Amino acid sequence: MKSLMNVALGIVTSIGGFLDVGAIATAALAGAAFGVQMLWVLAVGTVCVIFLTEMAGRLACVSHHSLVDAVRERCGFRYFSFLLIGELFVDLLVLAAEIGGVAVALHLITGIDYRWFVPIVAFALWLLIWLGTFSIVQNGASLLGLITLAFVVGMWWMGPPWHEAMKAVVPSTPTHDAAKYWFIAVGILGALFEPFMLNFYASGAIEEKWSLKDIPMNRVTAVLGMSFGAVIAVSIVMLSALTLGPHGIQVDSYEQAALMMVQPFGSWGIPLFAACLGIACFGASLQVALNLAYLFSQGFGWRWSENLKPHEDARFALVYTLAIPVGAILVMVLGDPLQITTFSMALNALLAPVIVFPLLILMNDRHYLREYRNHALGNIVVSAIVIIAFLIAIVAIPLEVLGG
Amino acid sequence: MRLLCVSVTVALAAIGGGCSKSPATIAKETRQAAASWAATLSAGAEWWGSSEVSTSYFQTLVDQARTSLQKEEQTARKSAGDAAAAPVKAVASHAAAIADAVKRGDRTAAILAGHAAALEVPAEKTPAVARPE
Repeated sequence: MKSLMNVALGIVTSIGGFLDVGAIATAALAGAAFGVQMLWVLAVGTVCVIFLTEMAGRLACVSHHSLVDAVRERCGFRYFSFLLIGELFVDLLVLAAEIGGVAVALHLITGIDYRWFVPIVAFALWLLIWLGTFSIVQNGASLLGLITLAFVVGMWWMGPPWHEAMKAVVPSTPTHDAAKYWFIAVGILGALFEPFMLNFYASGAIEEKWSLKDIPMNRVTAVLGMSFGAVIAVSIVMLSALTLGPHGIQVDSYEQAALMMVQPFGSWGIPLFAACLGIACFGASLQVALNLAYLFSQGFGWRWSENLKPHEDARFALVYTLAIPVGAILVMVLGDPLQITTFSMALNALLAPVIVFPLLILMNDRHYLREYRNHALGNIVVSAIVIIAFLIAIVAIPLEVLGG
Repeated sequence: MRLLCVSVTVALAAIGGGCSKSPATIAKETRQAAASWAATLSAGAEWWGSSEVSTSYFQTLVDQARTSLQKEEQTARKSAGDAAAAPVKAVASHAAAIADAVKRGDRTAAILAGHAAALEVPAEKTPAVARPE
């Protein structure tokens, strides 16, 4: 019974944790600009993220190492430094995007400029991490994150074109705006396999003291949880395709994206969108800020745990205490949270190989995984998808940034 | 390693240099942005008219539209000339009319101005089911 509860909680956690500002923004962009045509990108990305999440969890269950910890040990400090710089840069941008997402959600409800909310959101975020334990941070945000099921209800209400949606799972090329199409594709993939999520997941498994007996639960959590999360992302694409695209509305700001909920929910639409955006982003910003603390602490061998009091792991607490204001300052300085989001998601796709390939090395290492090593299928699928995403990112980012 | 870094830098510079935006591209993008905002204002005004969105949200939407259109106009004028900026200017003037209507609480005037914007710069509508190649 207890293990069933754990599985259920794991699935709920994944639904809440899967959806963040990047998933909402890129799915809304894709639906408005290309209808349901880009659903295949979500399908491919979800397969990849299921494999990756399961691997990160299995690594923690068998070796009791988090991802960063194991990478530093196996690949050396020099490689770890490279990973640290890359992930620090991208995670800070993602943190800025998430804080910006919460601030924009409050702006949508109140009409007050989002910048006023940025310091308040940053302080609330820091306070929750400072005072909370891992289970409060993880499960609280994730349970609230179930509100994002409103996207599924909205899609259902609008009567989705199921037949065409099924056809769209087969990869296709764009009929117009190729640069934009591939840039959004990279953004969707980047939003799905955000490097921070893998290390956060593995660190969480260690915080919750997973062991060999939790391997089946890890597998169920990865498959069902990520699939449910993907259903929500698919719903956003479909909802955006059914409500924004036919009006000729493109998503250049969150104010426009919010309109997708008006047709199915009427006057509740905008507050509901704001609640979904705010809660999903707040949950994700907790994860990113904590992951930065995990990254430094595990990499440099400091004491770490969200379950310890801040004075017991002071350097761990110092990292998120510094990271959160930096993220807040970035969103104030850079402006336009939607642009920060799309750009940081594309950078995620660029960074993915730096963390995924060491993970694959670890997952095939007898010293760490013993008889629980990877099968060839997992290695091939993950390598292929990550290389393709990386190659598309190299071409699509300059094309989109510098011109069509 | 050094050779690899240099090669990657050169490749990225080549991609970047080879695809700087032409005035025609900027004009096309500006028109698309103007059309999208016109469609947004038109739909938003309709929904405000039927009380499906709140006045505070609609005000926010109109303010965002005006800010974005102003930026688009500046970029277009600087890089592609006055002709490229014309569609944005047209939509911006309707957005200003809608902002005034919101201040007065005149929902009918907002709807009319929204429709006028959408007619002046029509948006390319994306069907939910696009036809892939």
